[in-house]
Amino acid sequence: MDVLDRLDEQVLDAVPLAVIGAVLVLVLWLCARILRRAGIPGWLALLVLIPGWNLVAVWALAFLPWPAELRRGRPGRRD
Amino acid sequence: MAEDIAIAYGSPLVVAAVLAIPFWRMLGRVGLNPYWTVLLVAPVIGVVMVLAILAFGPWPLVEGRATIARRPARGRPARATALPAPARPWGEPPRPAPNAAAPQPSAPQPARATGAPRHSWRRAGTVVRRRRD
Repeated sequence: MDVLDRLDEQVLDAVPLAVIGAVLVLVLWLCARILRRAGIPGWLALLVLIPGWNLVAVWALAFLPWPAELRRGRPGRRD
Repeated sequence: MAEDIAIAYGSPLVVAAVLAIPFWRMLGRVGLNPYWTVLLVAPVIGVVMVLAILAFGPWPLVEGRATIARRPARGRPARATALPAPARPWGEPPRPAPNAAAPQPSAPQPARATGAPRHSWRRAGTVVRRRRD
């Protein structure tokens, strides 16, 4: 994807690294908070940084039962 | 050129579409409005906003309504293990002091249905869809 590579280069040239780092830290903090509220260890938020596995992690979080739900006696299955 | 623009601006939409299904399910699962997923159409800010709504919004279906008032305003959220569901999640009514005089029935109090939660993030009239257990 040549177009996307050029777009990435343009974005990296235009946006300062400090802003990118701040957004990354913000996303990590929010993800860790969500995971802790769901009863999952917060350091698993680091999975978001791995390029292919972040989508896998989001889908797994959406469709697997959460410990916080199970503790309330409400398993995370809808079927 | 037009194809370049289409690819460059289409790829965030593809990412948003791939993220929409899990975020839709997560928002509905915790008791928030799943239509917050529409924010994902904004390329980077949208994901941050949806994550912030998930991180700081109330989770009535997972934590119960009591966590709305119990969660500390600042700092880390209380762990899910420390949140047993009370018998009356909306809290006990304030007790009068033992030496205080009996309250004067000054004005007719507006009748509230027993069991109605005091705090609700939903607008009035919204139907709360309960999960099937």
